[in-house]
Amino acid sequence: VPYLRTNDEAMQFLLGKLTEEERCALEDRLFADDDLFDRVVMAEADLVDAYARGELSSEDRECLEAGLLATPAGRERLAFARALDARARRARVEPRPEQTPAWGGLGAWLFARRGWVAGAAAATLAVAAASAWYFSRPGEVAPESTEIVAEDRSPAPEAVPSEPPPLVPTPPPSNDVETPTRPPSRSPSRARVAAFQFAPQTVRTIEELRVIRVPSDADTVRLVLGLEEPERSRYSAVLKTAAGEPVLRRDSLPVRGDGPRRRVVLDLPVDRLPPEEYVVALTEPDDESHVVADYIFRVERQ
Amino acid sequence: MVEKTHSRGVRWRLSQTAFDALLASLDADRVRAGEQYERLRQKLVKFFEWRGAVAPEDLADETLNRVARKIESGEEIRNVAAFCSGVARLVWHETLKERERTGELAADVAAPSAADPGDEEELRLDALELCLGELPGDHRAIVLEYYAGERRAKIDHRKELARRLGIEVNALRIRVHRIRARLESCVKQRLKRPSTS
Repeated sequence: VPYLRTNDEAMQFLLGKLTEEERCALEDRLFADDDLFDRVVMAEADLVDAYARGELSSEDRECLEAGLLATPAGRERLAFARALDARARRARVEPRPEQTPAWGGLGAWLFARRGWVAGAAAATLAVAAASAWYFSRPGEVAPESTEIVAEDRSPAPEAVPSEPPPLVPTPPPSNDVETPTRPPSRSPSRARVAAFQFAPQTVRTIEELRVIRVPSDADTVRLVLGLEEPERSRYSAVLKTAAGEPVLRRDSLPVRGDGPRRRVVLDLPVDRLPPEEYVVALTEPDDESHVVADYIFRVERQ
Repeated sequence: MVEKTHSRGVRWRLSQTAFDALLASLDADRVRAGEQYERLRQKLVKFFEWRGAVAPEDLADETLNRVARKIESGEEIRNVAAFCSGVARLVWHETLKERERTGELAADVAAPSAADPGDEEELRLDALELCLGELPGDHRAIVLEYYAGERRAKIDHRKELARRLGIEVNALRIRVHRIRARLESCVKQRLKRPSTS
C-alpha cells in the first residue's frame, strides 16, 4: 500500500471521524457488501501497522488511541502488529553502513533500492525528461491551470502561464538540479509560476533525485508530470514529504496532451513546499492505493 | 447450544429449531447457509469491535440470538444481514445504557494486562515464531518481506515483491492480509494456551 488513505471514508470510519449518521450508513453497507467489509478490515490492519511503526500523524494517532486501540481487542491487535514489525525488521537485510548516503532518510531508501535498480539506472537517466521553469505573465491564463487552482480551493495566483513547454527527452544537468534558465524579468506586482517537468519514474537511484530550485519570489510551483500510458482521463495526486507526512491531495486532475506529451499538471502554492524532500504520487481517482506513477524531488530555495 | 441473557434480564435459550430457522433464512443449502452464518457473525463481531465493545463476540452472539428468535416466532425477514445491523445497533445502545448505569466502562476497557509487558512481548514473539514456522515457506517469506523496510523502502519492497510474484500490488496486499489474519489468529490461540511451545 503506497500510502495510507487516511482521508477516505473507511479510514475516517476507523479513526472515529465520521458523524453518527455517516457511521450508521457505512455500517449498513458493511453488512450488505462483503468486498467493502474486507477492505475495511484490511484498512484497519494497515492503520494499526502504521501506528505501530510510528507512521501516523499525531492527530490520527490520538484518534486511534481513543477508539480502536482503547479496547482489549485493539490492544491485542496492536501488540500483534508490533511483534510482526519487530520480526520483519529482524529478517530485513540492512545496507552496509559505509555505503549509506549521508544525506538523510530518502537517501537511505534510495540506497536500499540501488541494488536491484542498478541495471536500469542508466536507461532511466537516458529517458529522464529535462525540466524547465518559466514565469507567468498576466493575461496568459490557460484553462487547465485555472481548473487546477480551482480544485485546490486555495487562493489562485494572479496569473498562470500558458501551455507549458513540451517534454523534451534531454539529459538532466549534473546532479539533476533545476536552476533558472533565464533570469527573472518581471515587475514586482506580477505573480510568478515556477514550472518543472518530470518524466514518469519507474525506477530510482540516488543520482535521479530531482532537486528543484524555487525562486524566492515565486508564488506557485507547477509540476508537469509526464505519464507513459495513462489508462484514465483523470487522476488524483497525493503530495507527501519523504518522511510520509501528507502535504496535500488533489482529485480529478485531467490528463493533458497526447503521445509523449501526456501529462498531468499540478500547481502548488509555494508556501506548502518548504525546502525538503517530497514524493508526489498519481493515483487512480477512486483508489489511492493504486499508484500509477510517482515523482520524487527535493525543494531548495534560491 | 448458545445461551445468552438479554440485558433486561429476560432469559432465552437458542434452540436447535431457532438456529435451523436462522440458517434456512440465510440459504436453502445448509453448507452455504453455514458459511453465510460465519460471515455474518464475523461482521457482527467487527461491528461491535469498531464501536468499542469490550466483549464484541458476546454481543455478536446476542444479536444473532435475537434475530433467530424473531425468525422462530414467525416473523418474515427478507434481508437478514440488514435486519442484523438494526438489531446490532439496538444491542449496542442497550450496552451503552448498561455501561452508564453500572459505570463499568473504563475499568474493563482501560485495564492493562496484569502480566509484565516485557514477558508478554517475549511470549508473543515466541508464539509468532512458532506460527510463522507453521506457514508454508513461501507464505512466510512473503509476509516477512511485505512488512520489511521503512516508509518508502517498504513501498518499494512491496512493488518489487508483487513484480516477482507476477501480481498487482493490491492482489499482493489481499494475499498478505489473508496470511496475516491466519498468523494473528494462530498467535492469539497460542497465547491462550498455558504454554506456547
